[in-house]
Amino acid sequence: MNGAALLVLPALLSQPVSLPEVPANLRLLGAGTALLPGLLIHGAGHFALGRKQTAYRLAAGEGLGLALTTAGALALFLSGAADEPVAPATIAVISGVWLFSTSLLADLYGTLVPLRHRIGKRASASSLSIGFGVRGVHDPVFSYRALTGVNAQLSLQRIRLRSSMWTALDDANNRVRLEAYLRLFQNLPIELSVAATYHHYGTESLTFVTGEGSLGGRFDLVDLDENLAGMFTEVSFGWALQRVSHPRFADLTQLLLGRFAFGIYLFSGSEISVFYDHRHDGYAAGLKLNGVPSGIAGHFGANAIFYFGNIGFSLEAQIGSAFVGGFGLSFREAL
Amino acid sequence: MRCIALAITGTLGCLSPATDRALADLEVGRAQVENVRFEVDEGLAAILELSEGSLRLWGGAPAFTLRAHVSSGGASTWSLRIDNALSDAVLSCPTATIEHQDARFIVQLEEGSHTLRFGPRDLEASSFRFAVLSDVQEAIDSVQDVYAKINADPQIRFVLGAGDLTENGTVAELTRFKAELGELGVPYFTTLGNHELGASPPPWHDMFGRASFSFEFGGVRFTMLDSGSATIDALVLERLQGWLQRGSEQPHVVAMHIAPIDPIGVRNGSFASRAEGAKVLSMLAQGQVDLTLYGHVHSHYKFENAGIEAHISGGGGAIPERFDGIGRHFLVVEASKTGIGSVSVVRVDN
Repeated sequence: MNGAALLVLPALLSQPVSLPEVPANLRLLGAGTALLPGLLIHGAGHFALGRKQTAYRLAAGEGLGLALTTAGALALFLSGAADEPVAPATIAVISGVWLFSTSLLADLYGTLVPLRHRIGKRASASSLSIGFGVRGVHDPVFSYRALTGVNAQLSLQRIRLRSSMWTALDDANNRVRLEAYLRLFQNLPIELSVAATYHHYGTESLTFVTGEGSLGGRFDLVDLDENLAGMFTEVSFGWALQRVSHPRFADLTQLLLGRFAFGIYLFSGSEISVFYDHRHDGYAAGLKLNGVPSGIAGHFGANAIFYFGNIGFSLEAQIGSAFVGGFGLSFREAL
Repeated sequence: MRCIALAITGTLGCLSPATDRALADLEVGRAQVENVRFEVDEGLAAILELSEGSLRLWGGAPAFTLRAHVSSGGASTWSLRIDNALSDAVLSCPTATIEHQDARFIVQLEEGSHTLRFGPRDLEASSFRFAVLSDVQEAIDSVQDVYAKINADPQIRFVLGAGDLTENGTVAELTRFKAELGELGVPYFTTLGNHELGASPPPWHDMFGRASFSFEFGGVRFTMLDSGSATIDALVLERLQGWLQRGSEQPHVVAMHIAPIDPIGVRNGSFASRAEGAKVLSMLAQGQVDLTLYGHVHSHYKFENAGIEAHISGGGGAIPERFDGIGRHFLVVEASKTGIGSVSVVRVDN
């Protein structure tokens, strides 16, 4: 790894988008339209900017999302949440919400931020990253409040390996996770992932060991439409088998995994994203809601990482059964 | 700054959606009028009406203790009516004169403190049966079919409910449910479900009493827990520790609406947090609970959680789970002070 590459890499990762721009007054109209009626008709903002094809694509995304959500919800309702259709029906609902939210956020960001200010698609590069972080957790049920963690990620052309470990500073609680991702196709960003997690709650004498597999990927929206440059969306679905053990018992259970995110690229490989994760384990777990959706929903969160050269500063927040917030520092080196 | 503080408070508040109900539990069974104060031990009965000389309670357990504190000038003659009670329950008090008239008791209370005990003479029955019925919801129009089947078994002493009596938990719906209970030949002791949380604040405590409580009957301890928000509040978990201690030397049945962990894991019709669910189960296992009963899922599942026999029974008639071939049903449980016996499924629609 030489110094020239260290200088070139950030430049490659922060190429600005070069596309036709709209006048400022038209952009203001677009931004307003993206809110009203854009919140109801996704793509309205881009339509106001004269980007009709983009608008139609976003509206189609919204329509497909609504259809999937409705179909999945109907299947759950009519089946009485029977165990046979519950997994595909839930996947349909999550997929629908993913498409709906992505089309909405893409229309908002695409009309609010001029193309010249957006960063283009992230170039894939082999790299090694190591980092550490701290987290604050507020969970009314458990006593840990402060966690410290380390993580590492090795990214090669089609393989990613990631590991992380979190330890509570004020309680006997620690979590270790190993993940492996394999990009299945050269020209499609679809990855197969497997992961193993060990989470020990010392105070409660509980240990969770989880093995899981997922299929999903990150899709740069510029590949769908040039006017959606600088944005990405992620979606994945999977299944996990989890063993929870205690001195008095050991139970085996399953989890349906589902996650989606919407993000934007920033300078030098930096990015911000918001996400929904359907899993009910881990520090955030699921949302506590009253009424019909009690227990079903997972958690929401936001991640941000800002790179200055090879140094990254990260921020995170999650809300589920607990509030999790944290920041970290990482070092990234191209290979 | 104020907006940020409000946002933080609101966010943290949604981490404990059941705290208000846990605090409301503590007010159940307490009321005062003029110079007379009434208090039901452990909130095992709700005070429905209280006026000078008249008291009406809704029984939350087969037996409970009512304490009356009469100051000078307080009424001495009281008409006491107790709804939702065992037919053979009697009221006794060593310091008061009690007369049983039709559906009420006429109680003479002099100035001072009085301890009235209400319950059946055979509280320590050798063996008994109880039924388990939950998730009636929108099927209230046909609930009499279920009650008729329960009434057909004269050995059932009471019905235990694991919540979702109504569709939205409004006063009108809870009133309707109570009215229908008039045809059930035995009392119905129940906790609430997620569908009882439609109104804010929910009128549950004024009409049915505590959502989390514990009582003893026939040498068996019964503990009902509020898991209607897919969690059990930390305040209730503290009380649960005490109930588990009291029940450690006797058979112990625990019921709640939403199960800590759904046997169909991919559905997650259970607590929002798997870790919290496991923590609650570990408490029940350490407390040597013998049987756990749940509602929420409109079918019947028999399984084990934390080594404890478990039944999900949401057969009151609400939109049923398809493909399971079970339909409307209730459970009948044999119990005695030596242990929990059989748990049978009784189908309503054969």
